[in-house]
Amino acid sequence: MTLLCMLCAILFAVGIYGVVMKRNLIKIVIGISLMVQAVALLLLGLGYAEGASQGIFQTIGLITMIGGLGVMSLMIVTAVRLYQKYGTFDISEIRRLKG
Amino acid sequence: MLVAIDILVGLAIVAGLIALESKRLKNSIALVAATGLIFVIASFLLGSAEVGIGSIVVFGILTPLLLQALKSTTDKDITLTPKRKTTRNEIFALISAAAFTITFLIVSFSLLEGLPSLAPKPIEGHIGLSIIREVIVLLAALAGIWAIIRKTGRQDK
Repeated sequence: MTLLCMLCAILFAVGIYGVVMKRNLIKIVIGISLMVQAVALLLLGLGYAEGASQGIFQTIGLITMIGGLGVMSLMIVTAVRLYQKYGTFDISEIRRLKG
Repeated sequence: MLVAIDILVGLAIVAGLIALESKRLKNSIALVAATGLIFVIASFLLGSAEVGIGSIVVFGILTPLLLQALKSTTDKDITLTPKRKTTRNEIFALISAAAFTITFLIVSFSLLEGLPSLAPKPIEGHIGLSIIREVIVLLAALAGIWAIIRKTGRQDK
């Protein structure tokens, strides 16, 4: 169980790396997707470790995934609109240009 | 069973890293779909069929959405972002994230069976998690205020 927690933390850290270090908006969305997966997997793992009373963990895991889908869909739409306006996915380039 | 889950999460980490470092966005999206598939298998193995089915729906929507976004924007399927130096803010953000992860794990250890508590008594257990939650809310509020009042980075003039 501890190893699973560690691996989920590493997966979350990989997601943070994508969000912080990458400048491409699509890669940032991918990073957020990894972070959501890490949280949901940790919840499912905790539910599995708890045994029979895992309903609450499943529910929270499912809500996490659905909420994550909503956030990512909104981000993708925003990325497409930004591309149409500025012609790039590069956030540092978008930040530099006057909107 | 947990060994299989550990291997799957390890594969997801590798796939995620390659997805982030890949030059072609289509490859990145394919690898995201692969991590989704890994997540679905892990969900079923962990006995959470509902989450597994929900994840099939989630990644069934997310992958075509990403592909459609790519198709409707750029013809050149390569990330054209030249390399640059890591800024101080990014290093600070990474250190903060690492510090949070370590603190969270230290406090969470006491909630898992068979592991010694690494945190001192006053901050271990659910109270410790509650403190962390409130500190995070305060930090988020401070970060929001800072983001609103800062002037640097804008070139309106």
